[in-house]
Amino acid sequence: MTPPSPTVLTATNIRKSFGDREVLAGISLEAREGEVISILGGSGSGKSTFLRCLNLLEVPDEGQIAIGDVQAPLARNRHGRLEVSDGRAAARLRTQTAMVFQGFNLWPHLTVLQNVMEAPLRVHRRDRDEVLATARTLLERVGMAGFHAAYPKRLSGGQQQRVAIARALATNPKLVLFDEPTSALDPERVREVLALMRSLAEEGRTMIVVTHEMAFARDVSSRVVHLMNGRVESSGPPAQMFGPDASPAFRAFLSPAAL
Amino acid sequence: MMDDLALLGFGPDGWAPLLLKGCVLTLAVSATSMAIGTVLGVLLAWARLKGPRWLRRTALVYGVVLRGVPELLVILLLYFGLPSLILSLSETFGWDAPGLPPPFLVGSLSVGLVSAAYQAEIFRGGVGAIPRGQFEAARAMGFGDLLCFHRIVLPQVARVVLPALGNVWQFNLKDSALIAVTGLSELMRTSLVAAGSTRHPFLFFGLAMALYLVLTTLSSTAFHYGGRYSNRWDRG
Repeated sequence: MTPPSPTVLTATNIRKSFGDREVLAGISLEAREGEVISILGGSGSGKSTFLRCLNLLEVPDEGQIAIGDVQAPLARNRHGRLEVSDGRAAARLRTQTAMVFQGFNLWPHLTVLQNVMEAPLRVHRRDRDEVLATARTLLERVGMAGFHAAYPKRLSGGQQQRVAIARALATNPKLVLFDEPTSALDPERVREVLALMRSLAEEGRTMIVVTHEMAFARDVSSRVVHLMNGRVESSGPPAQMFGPDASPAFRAFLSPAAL
Repeated sequence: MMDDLALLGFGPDGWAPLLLKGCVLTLAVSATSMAIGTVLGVLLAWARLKGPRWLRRTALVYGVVLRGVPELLVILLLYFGLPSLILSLSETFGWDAPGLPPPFLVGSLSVGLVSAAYQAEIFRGGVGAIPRGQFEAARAMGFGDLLCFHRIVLPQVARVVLPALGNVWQFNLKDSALIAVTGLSELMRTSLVAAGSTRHPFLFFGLAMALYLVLTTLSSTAFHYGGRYSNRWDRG
């Protein structure tokens, strides 16, 4: 038996409320190197909020997060609320991760190439030639080699998302978070982005993907997590989750999609 | 007619050198006050957007006051009012009495303080126009606040605010004429003196008008091209 691969992410008992509404009611998740975890759930199940807690874009009310063996700098302030206690440490932690957004969020004032080079160059302060070489390779990889000098506004949604994925990979992060990466795309564009994500999974990238794409979750992920009412309703390898022993609640969630 | 031309020339009776010096001084005062306004305006906008409650309030009150009173009053208050207050205080406490403050500095500061109030509103609106996802994309990749401001926020804000800043600059340039009351020989003051001592008010005020128009037109053109450059990624 091979030893288990090292843990990339540990999230323990994450809770989050917006006003009176409890969105996350205590979620724990561990991701090991090379795992692709799909997080599924109805709208309002808290899946995006959970993902955004993992890189501290949202500050959870309770819980602990660690990337590798580095704890996220969360501490209670004098009112007893959890907050980021050290902004620099939080930024350092985020340099180990990357995120792909539903709305792409490319920087419109930078060209495609500049978008990809920005973080490794300015945040990681890597050597410019090395960064340029990596960026070229990545853009080639996502099928955007001919678009180095283009500004994002000129690109289609699918093209923008592929550039955003190249941007996310440019720092060679330990973990890539995908927040509904295909939800804002035309069906045709969805396919090109999913194909790219599949190839990333195959090369062993550690990915956590919030998605509505059942086929992706079933065929590509190593684990599927079903969130309901801010909790993990059920989770397991896709063969189990999509098999005859699936939880009734998850089957009910799937059924409208199956129609 | 020939006399008039001699008055405007570079000869011994000509006012041209002084008027040109006035133009330079007007530009210098305007640029200084614009710079003061930009620095303070950014700080005020930051205070309004991100500051703790007391600072938000203070910045708000600052804007209401400085935009709500005549600029001439601000200049008079800082140049004549404040020194007289300090004078009476120094008599009370037996300090050495300071003289009148340097007109260039106080003039630029007065116009700059008012300019800051307007610029703060512009910057606040400009930052508000940037979608949240832009900040999030930067933060998610480990950008610190300063780097995010410099690389992501500033270039995008510049595009939104440059046309509005062009307007503020034009106001600054014209308001700098009010600094004439301090005796600083910028363009307005020089024209006043020239008009009075030569008894040719129409000639010199007409000329001052033309010179102000040249200054404002040239600088708005500069702002126009600056605006186009900062907008290059959003065209077509």
